[in-house]
Amino acid sequence: MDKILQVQNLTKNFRDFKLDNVSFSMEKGFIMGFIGPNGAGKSTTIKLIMNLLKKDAGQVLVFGLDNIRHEKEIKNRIGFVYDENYYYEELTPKEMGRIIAPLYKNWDDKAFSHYIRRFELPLDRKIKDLSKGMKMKFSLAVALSHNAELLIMDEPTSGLDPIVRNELLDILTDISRKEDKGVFFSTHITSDLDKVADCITFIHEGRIIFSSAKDDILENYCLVKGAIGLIRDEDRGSFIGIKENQFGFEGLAQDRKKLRRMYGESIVIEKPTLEDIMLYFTRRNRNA
Amino acid sequence: MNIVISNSSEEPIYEQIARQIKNQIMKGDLKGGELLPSIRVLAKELQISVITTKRAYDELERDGYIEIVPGKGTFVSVQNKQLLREMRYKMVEEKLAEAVDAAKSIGLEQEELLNMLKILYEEE
Amino acid sequence: MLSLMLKDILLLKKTIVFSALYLVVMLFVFASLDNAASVFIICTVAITYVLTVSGCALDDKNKTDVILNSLPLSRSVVVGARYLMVLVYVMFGVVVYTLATWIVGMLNLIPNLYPVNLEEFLGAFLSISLLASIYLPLYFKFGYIKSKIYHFILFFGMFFGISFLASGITSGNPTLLRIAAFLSELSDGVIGTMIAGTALVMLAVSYGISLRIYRNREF
Repeated sequence: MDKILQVQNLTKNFRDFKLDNVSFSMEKGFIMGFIGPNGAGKSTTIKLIMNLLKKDAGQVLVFGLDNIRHEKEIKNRIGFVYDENYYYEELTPKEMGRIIAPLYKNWDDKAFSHYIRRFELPLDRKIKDLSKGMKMKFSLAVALSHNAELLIMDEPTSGLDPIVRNELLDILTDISRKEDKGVFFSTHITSDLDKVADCITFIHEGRIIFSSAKDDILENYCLVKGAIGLIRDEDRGSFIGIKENQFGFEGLAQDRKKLRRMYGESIVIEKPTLEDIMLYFTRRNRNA
Repeated sequence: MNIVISNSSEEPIYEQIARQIKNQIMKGDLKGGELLPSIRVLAKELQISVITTKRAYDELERDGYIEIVPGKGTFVSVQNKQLLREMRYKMVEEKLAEAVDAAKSIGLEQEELLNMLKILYEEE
Repeated sequence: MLSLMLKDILLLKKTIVFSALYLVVMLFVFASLDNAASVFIICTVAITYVLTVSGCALDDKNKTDVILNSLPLSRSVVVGARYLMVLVYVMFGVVVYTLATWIVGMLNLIPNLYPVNLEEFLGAFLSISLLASIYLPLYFKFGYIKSKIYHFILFFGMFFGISFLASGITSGNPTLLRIAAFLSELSDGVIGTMIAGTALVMLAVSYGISLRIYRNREF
């Protein structure tokens, strides 16, 4: 299968933060969630992919092409949505559309009108008078109106209420599934991805913790609960982390079968959410 | 075709899907030659990952329940009646094996187990 | 490129209209004076400068560099559009002024009104080229807010500079007189070409600097 996005050993140094040797890749037609706590380096990575920041080392290939040497060609095939709306607040969606349309080789005016109508966006109202949800939908309408093969989104759902968020996710999955487009989607609201993501890349403090198929991750790890002190020391190695409260413990572990065998009915084993996984890994890195 | 998945079950989602489709094929709700939804449509409707649906379909294809024809779609395998009957036979055999295991683990005698079977059968 | 220029026009609709009105009003106010020519120069330079700086301000305020650089646009086009708009504004000033004098002339409201002649146009062109060549690299380097102070210095410097030059010539400053004498010996055509050439060279050098700055910027 073709890789639509390949990040290899990407490094960028800032004064008080370092994006360290970030590598991951993504295949065509899938939805990849890029998760991590605030400040982990998600936006930095995306800006490096879009060449808004200059890398110190490493390589980014989009559609198999180097993202600096073939910048313009790549950008013609990418739709982007950022968390902050950087469009001209004084203009209307219609005017904005007129300015952007000639810049894309494959602009599709019919698609643009279709999405404006579908998202119920007022064409002649100034962008500054649109709600956050509508601004986001406008960004999305633009991103979807030039036959882009890859959508890159940086926290597109932050600041949106759950209803609009759900709507947005629905639209994204619809498009990705029906039109075989790749969607690369960074967020710290992991519940968005629990269901629909195909792959997950987890970044923390500038480093990639893991990058694999979401099902594999959710099946390999399990949430274990039981009485305090139940887990023997030699089995603690299977745990990513254990939290103890007054009445018991909860932990994230691998090796579900082995634990079930050893502890039988004295433990509760549940499927973890991405948020659980993110929290436990974050805590572990912090305590290490 | 009806598929209902549980997010909180311990059974992996792809297995739930494969199991449900298998059952419907064996019961005859899904007929031989019938067109199944694509992995993408299934993923979209169930709101799960495409990798999951692909895995389910791969397993079903491996076990001979469905056929994936590139360019055309995914179809329920046309089973001849004999083969289908054999499959159902096997299913009953598996379930009985489970019952025997469970009985043995609590020390139930063969006699008692047979009695239980008789009662249950007659309940229908 | 054209898109970006259209963008500026759409954004500055109100300012553009206001500038046109300003030009016409100034025309009426100063037309009776002898130096009607300098009215044109000063007004056109003023409105071009204001429009250019306003355009920069709006881009900065909306932080649109992020979008502009995410679109399939090369940075040379983003920078180039700014410079081209300077030329567009100057032409706009010329057109408005010419139209105004023509209409006024037809209605015979004010006597002795000349449309713009080449000298005045070149004067305006040179002045605004100088201003833009200094301002734009500063804007690309520091952004609108930080370069605001240079903006003020330039704006007022321009007024004082022109009147200083004018008084220098009339009061008989020897250096200026020598330059003036040297220049008056050359034909009009050569002078014209020199002025236009200087202006274009200034803009080109400034463009080169701005481009270099912008290429190295990170967002």
